[in-house]
Amino acid sequence: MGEHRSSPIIRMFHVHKSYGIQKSLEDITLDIYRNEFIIVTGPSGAGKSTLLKLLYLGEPVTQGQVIVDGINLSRISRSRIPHLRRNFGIIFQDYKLIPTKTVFNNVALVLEAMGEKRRLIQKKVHSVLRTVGMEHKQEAFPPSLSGGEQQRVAVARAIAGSPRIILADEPTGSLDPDSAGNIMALLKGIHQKGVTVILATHDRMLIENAGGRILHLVQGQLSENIEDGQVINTL
Amino acid sequence: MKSTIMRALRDINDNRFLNGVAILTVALSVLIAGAFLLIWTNLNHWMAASENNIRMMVYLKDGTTEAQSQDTTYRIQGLDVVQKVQFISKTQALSMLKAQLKQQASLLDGLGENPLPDSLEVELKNGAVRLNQIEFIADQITRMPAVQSVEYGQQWMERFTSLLKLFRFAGMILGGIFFIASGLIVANTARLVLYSRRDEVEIMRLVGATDLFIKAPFYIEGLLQGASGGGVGLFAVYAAYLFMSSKLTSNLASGFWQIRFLSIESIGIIIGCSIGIGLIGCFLSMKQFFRN
Repeated sequence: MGEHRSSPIIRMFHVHKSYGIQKSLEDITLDIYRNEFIIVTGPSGAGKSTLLKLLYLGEPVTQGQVIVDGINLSRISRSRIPHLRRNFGIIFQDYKLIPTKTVFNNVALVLEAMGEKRRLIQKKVHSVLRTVGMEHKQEAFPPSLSGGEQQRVAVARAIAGSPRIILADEPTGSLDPDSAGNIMALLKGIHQKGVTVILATHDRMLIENAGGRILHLVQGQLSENIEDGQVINTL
Repeated sequence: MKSTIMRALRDINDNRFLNGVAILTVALSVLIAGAFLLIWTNLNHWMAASENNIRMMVYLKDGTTEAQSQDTTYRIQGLDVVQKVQFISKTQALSMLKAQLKQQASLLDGLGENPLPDSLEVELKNGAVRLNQIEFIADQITRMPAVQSVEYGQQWMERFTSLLKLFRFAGMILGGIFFIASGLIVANTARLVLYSRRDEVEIMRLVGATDLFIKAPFYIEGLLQGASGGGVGLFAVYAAYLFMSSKLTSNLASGFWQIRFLSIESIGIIIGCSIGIGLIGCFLSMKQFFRN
């Protein structure tokens, strides 16, 4: 165990998630520490996306407890959910950009929702677009961009609000290898700045090159918890 | 706040057709309710003006002596609401009738005996009595021994009062129905806009936008729809008023009845109701959308 393990930012205790009679996650117990780079892997339908959704309350847990930065999500009031979500920067496989808004306005939306002042928004958006190499396309609309470019805008939006945790759900799933490499490089860079990154993927290339801790899910159960090639927890 | 208003204006521009329909519906409701209110206000005003100039004709029984008619005059004058009582003898009445008939006055020459009775013209004090109290006063006078009958245009007044009630009732019902309909159309417009942008709303939620942040532009849209609809509807009522008043002024040469437009208070209430309809419509659709 490294010294960073002193303060878990996410804790899950015996978490179950079902959709009707269909079990999606079963008895998940784990801690994720500050500034960790976590890869959640497993075959399609293993529950990777569901696990991420439980963290930002995209879905409620069926049973068990999820604690994010000391907040027990089963006790959070509805009005506090937006504030919880500001702890996260979320990146989706299908980018989820608003097609009728420019690149600039898509990224600015996060800061507007946080109630930031216009001047600070301008400064911050320019800064994050520069970070992902999309500053020159700030007036473009998402449908006019390539998949790789759209995902870079999504990364910019995810980091605009300076979140403590980045959740990336198959961020390279729709991209060519070069674009996927760019996105991974961006995520590594974000992690190096002290942000906790949780990446859900089944892309073997990414898993091998990413480093960090690997959580392997099979049929909704945590089958392996591997750090630096060493299995630290199994079924 | 500025950015919220800007977002609302952008949304209105993006959904021009839907917003146009909502504004027109509110305008139509205001036009109908406003037209009824305008007519009712003017009828009411006319009735109030009539109350300032109420006269009664008290016809005395045939063979009433001078002493009896003088006694009746005193008794009527003793009533609180009476301003003046003037005795009109049957001879005076006939000559007044002849004067009114002008060329046709010769028709009366054939009458052997003057058929008209002695009478008293009673003028009531301005504002001392409402139209619906006249019947009571007339009744009091009728019960005096020398009095044959009292005339004050009963039928005309009853019809006028009924007409006024009918207008108020019809206006309230029709205005109410149209206001409810426009509220539902505004709600539907907001719902259609919300559904067309549900992905955007979902993304806003994911990036940590509060419900207030998401809903505020829709409420501003509802407010603007209501206010614009109210404004357009009132403008239509005003145009109708100008048209009608020019027609009536040329027809009523005496200027006896001048049409007046709605009061500032009524305009304020109409605009307030329109805005309220816009906001309630938004609230209804928002409640349903965010519950799902």
